[in-house]
Amino acid sequence: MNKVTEAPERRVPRREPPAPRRSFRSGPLGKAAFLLLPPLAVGLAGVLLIQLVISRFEISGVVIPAPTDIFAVMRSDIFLEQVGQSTWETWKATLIGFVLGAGSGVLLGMLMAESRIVRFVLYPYVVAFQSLPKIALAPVCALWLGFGLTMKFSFAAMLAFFPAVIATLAAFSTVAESRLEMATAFDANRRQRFVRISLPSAVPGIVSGLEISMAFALIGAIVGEFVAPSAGGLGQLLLTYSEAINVAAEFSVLVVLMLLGVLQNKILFSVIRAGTERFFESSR
Amino acid sequence: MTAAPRPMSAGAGAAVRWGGLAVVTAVLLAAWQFLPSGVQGDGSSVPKLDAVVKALGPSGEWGEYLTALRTTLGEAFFGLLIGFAAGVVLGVLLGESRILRQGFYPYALALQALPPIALAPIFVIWFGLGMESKIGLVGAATLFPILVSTMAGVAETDRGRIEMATAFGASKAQIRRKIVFPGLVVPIFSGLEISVVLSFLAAIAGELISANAGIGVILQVYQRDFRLAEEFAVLLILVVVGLALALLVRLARHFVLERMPNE
Repeated sequence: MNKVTEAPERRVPRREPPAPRRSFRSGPLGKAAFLLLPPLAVGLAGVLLIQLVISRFEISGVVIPAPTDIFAVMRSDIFLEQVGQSTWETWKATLIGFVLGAGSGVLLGMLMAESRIVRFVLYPYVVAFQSLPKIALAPVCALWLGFGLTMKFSFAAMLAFFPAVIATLAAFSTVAESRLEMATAFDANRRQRFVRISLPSAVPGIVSGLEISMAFALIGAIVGEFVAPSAGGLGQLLLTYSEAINVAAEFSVLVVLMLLGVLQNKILFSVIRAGTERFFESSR
Repeated sequence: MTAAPRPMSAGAGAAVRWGGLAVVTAVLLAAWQFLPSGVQGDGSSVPKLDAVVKALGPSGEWGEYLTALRTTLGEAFFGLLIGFAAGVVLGVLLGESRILRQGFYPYALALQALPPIALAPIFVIWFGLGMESKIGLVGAATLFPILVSTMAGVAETDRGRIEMATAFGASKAQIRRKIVFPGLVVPIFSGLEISVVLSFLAAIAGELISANAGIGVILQVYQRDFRLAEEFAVLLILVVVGLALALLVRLARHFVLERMPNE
């Protein structure tokens, strides 16, 4: 910030001296090092500190498992086999639930955005459902749909549905009124206005909503597994380890779950976001 | 035609809309009451409307509902208190120090991607079946929305105002108290809005997994005993409580913003 004040006097000779220093920091390698070093240092220090404290004060593995124990569990063949199987089961339910729930949610959101009467009639119901902690429906879902995959993905779909509706509705409400009016003036019909103007400008908002939906779908699948005793998946695995008081294995499952979450919520969605942005950019 | 609203007679439009809402509601309620119930064909799986109304009436199990609700709301409240305090403190720290932010924020993001509900079994091992394990779970679940919005609030503080204050000789503490902290109220409230909903949800989720009292417990008891009228009654009560909580946060925000000294 202080550079701004120094700038005018040094404008001419500035070019030479700071250039090499800058190029390291702003070069790709320097940038990566600058971004990666602090978190790596913190992570390493944290793991070492926990390990030291645990061995120094002889803290039981039930309270906090030592990082070495977690690594040992994560390397064992049995764990890898169980976790691979369970991760797939959980993610299958998450994905089916996400597609069904978020898909129908976006459709309903569009319908509500386009039709005033639908919006007015359905909005109170959406608000009422939105304020119900939907986790509370898990026991009823289990009663209706049994303890298998159907119950898991239906519950995931229900959790994924509402964020998609709300985000879609909000995204369409931010479409610039003036652009729609201009399109009307140029004789665009309703379909053209929707496809050419409303949809492209609503897409970023819808994608953010879908990101929330995806996170909720994962929560739904896991809660479904917690509630339904024979549903399999990471939720069941957590409960199994919990009953065996195998805390190191539980933490290992949490690490896997965290990686799954990062993969689907952050990485997958940054790809989707970039993709949709490019697609709608070119259609404009 | 809707996206570009046309001038239309306001009275007629309102009549159509309210009429539509009333008709749809009436049809739904009638269908609930008179349609042959049961997804699987047995009468027990969807309770009739009149049974649910009766369960909500004076002869309902209000003693049970309210005791459970008190437990759950207590867990949500104390958990939220912990999550809120920790979230604001950590958010300010990470927002103010660039090195801390770079070191810790990736972990905060990763932890946020972990569904907080999955921590429930571990909190049960640590704190047992009572309220404590649910309070811990709620604290962990509500921490991140507050942390993230507080941090964003610190980062978005107007640099120009800080520079001006520095030029006028304000100390760091003064800048914090007069410029940074007042600017945090709005972002913190938007984090709080998410966290209040999450606190209620996490408390119930924790109770569903293992607990000895609370809404999650009676929901499972009613389900096991096929007392679905009571189950639905509790769900309707939860809708009302959820709405009330959301309203409470809005009122609190309004109240605080009213009383804030204007810049």
